[in-house]
Amino acid sequence: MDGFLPTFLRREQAPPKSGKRAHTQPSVRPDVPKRVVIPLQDHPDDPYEVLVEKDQQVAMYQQVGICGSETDSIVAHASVSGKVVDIGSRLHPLGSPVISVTIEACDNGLEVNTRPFREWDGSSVSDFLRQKGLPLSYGCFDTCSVLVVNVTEFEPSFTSGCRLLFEEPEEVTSGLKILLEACSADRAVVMVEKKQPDVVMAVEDICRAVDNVRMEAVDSPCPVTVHELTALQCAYEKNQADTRDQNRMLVVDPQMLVAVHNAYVLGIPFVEQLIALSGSGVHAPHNMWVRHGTMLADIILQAGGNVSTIGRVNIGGPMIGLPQHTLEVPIIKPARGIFAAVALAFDEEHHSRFYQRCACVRCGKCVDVCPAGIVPNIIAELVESRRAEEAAEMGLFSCLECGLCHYICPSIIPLVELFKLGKVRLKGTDALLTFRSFKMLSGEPENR
Amino acid sequence: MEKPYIVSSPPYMRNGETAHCLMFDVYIACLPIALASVYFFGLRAFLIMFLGALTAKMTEAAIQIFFKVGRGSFRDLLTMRPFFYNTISNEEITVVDGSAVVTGLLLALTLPPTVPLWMPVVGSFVAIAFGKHVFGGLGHNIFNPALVGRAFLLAAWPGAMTTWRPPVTWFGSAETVDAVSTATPLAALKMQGQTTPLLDVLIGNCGGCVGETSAIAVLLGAAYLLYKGTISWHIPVSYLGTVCVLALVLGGDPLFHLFAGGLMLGAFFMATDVVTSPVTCLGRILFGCGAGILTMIIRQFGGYPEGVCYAILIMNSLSPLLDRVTAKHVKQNEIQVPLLKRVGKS
Ligand code: SF4
Ligand code: SF4
Repeated sequence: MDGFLPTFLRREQAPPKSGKRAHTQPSVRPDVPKRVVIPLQDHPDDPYEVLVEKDQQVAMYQQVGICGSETDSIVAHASVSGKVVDIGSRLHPLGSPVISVTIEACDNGLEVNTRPFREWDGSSVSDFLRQKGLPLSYGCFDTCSVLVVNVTEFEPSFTSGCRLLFEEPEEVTSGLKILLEACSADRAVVMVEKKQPDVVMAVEDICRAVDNVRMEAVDSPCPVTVHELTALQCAYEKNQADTRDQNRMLVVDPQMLVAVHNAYVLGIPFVEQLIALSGSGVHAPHNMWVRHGTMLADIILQAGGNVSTIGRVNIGGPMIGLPQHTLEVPIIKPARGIFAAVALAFDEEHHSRFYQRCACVRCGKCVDVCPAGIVPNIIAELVESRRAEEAAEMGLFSCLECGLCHYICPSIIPLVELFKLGKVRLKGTDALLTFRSFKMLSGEPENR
Repeated sequence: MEKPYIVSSPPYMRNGETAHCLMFDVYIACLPIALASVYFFGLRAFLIMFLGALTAKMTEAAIQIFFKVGRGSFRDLLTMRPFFYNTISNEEITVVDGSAVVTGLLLALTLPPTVPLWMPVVGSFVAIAFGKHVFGGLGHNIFNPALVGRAFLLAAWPGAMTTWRPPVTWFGSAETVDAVSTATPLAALKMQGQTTPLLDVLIGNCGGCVGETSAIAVLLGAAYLLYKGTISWHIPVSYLGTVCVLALVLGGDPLFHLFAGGLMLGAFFMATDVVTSPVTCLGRILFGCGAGILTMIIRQFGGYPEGVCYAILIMNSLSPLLDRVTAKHVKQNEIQVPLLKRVGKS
């Protein structure tokens, strides 16, 4: 009688943190993958340029292509040295086959000259960072007034941001310094969660080292989709004549600060990132440095998972992410984690009849937890009755797709799915924050 | 070709709560009240609660079987031969979710202990049939069904609904009062200008409805509900606070007004009924304030000594409006990032 009898203890209001062990464990650096697939597009219609040929030997850090058009582009680099075996359509985690460069790793002794910023002849730092392949929100680089560093971990089992602070504090500090000087912001705010005292201490050290940086301890973690929402807000306000709101924010995470430091000081392009592995499909939750373009299957094998038992895999975490139907997709630059679950017991198949969707009992729990301050139950009802315009007036586009309302709803209503449906109906898939936050170049939003 | 993985939209986690758990929490919270009422009014109080809950459940089962399994006609119902199987496998039959028992139980708690035993039966039937299923079942009703039942009984049989009797004395002390009828503290105050000692009102040693006399039992149950997060503090606090303030302004004894009558039961169990109260925090606070004002107006100036039931029913009808007014509205094309509001400030 699952779901029939009550538990006498209070239920969690937000997913409990499950990454305690990974939080204290050093991250691992696995072997170099045999093969990497480096996508040059987010969508088959995006412009791209290939800089290598088939069967060419490439060195690590060599430029293999340019994603995007003249005005908005970032460069893709080889994350291993080896031979280009294929340039063609490969499945991208966002769901469509895109042009990608496949490199088979071998030690060919080639080397490229990685030039730091002081040896670079270009002008602006943002162009330099584009050259080094950093997926930042370049749209608000020159208009933002605050630089926000999001060190909170929204996903319950993710610890990669905090691990970076512990393992590479100098890099993070220096990256913050560089970025603060390069972008138009005059001050920076580091967001940390109050409940993580060790992270708060690490952040305090950073705040002491850099001027104009303030720490803000928040109660609840901030979902990654906020980055995209602030970028949209920036773009929207840029088109508005009046600049009444001076709080335009550029939100970055520690991973980007480390990458900025590496690119600016050492000249190393962004080819390696720390991702968190979680879920029952991997041996134990931990953090791992992976090269871009590594196949998910390779990562999961390295993490001690058994590929044959996995039933669900997700780039991103269990709350926000891109579900994948196969493991033959490469890891992409904006990804910060992988969630893999074994196919033993998914709730949808094994629940009792008390876990069926029923009518909203208007308990108001979703309203209490929603970080966007909107009223999910009314919006869901409007979307379901195909009145998405009214839903937009109630703040549908403020929804962060964070999933807390879904987590808490006692009527088992698929609230987040309904919100995504409403957004897609009104503005197409480009309006989905989850989608946008997993794109290399989110680009200028069309007139919203 | 390997088997493709399951693709479904995240999030994949839930805290495992179901609507049924919410109802079960209310049963547990009703336990101290039920015990107190049996202590003060004898086994008859138990019978009233039992009959109320049973009728509510049976009414809901009958309505759902008739309209869902039998698709609204007796012929269909009779020709559906695997009747039992159809009943238990039909997904639309939600009688197991227990909300009907909550309604019946709460209705029984608002009846005087002297009512004839058919009254909880009639009241539960009205509450479930006309308070709930007329509107479309759980989640769609506008008025709190238990209060609809009580309002119906009060209008139809006002005599039986306002006859009270003193609490029974269990340990047979000699001076048992012979008077069959007594007044509730509020009625005594209103009609005869006579006050009841506060301690009696607090523990429930006075005349009144089955579940409303013992304020302490109600508070015990409410503490559990608040701990479990089944109800939020907004409505009770604003409701009781408003009553307190108004009692002071109108020159009454605020503590007496708080603990006497059905206010405690109403504030913690009736007004907080999830379906019929607003969802936004501000809406809930306004709801509580409105109910408090109406209660005090009825108590002080109205014809009835007690006004909780009607005050909550009136506010129930306003809760969709409160929701609409207090929900966040965004202008066309505007994007708001409320989470970062404080962060952005220098
Ligand atoms: S509506 Fe739900 S998914 Fe959207 S921001 Fe609020 S809690 Fe998150
Ligand atoms: S949490 Fe679910 S049942 Fe409660 S108000 Fe929100 S949508 Fe309705």
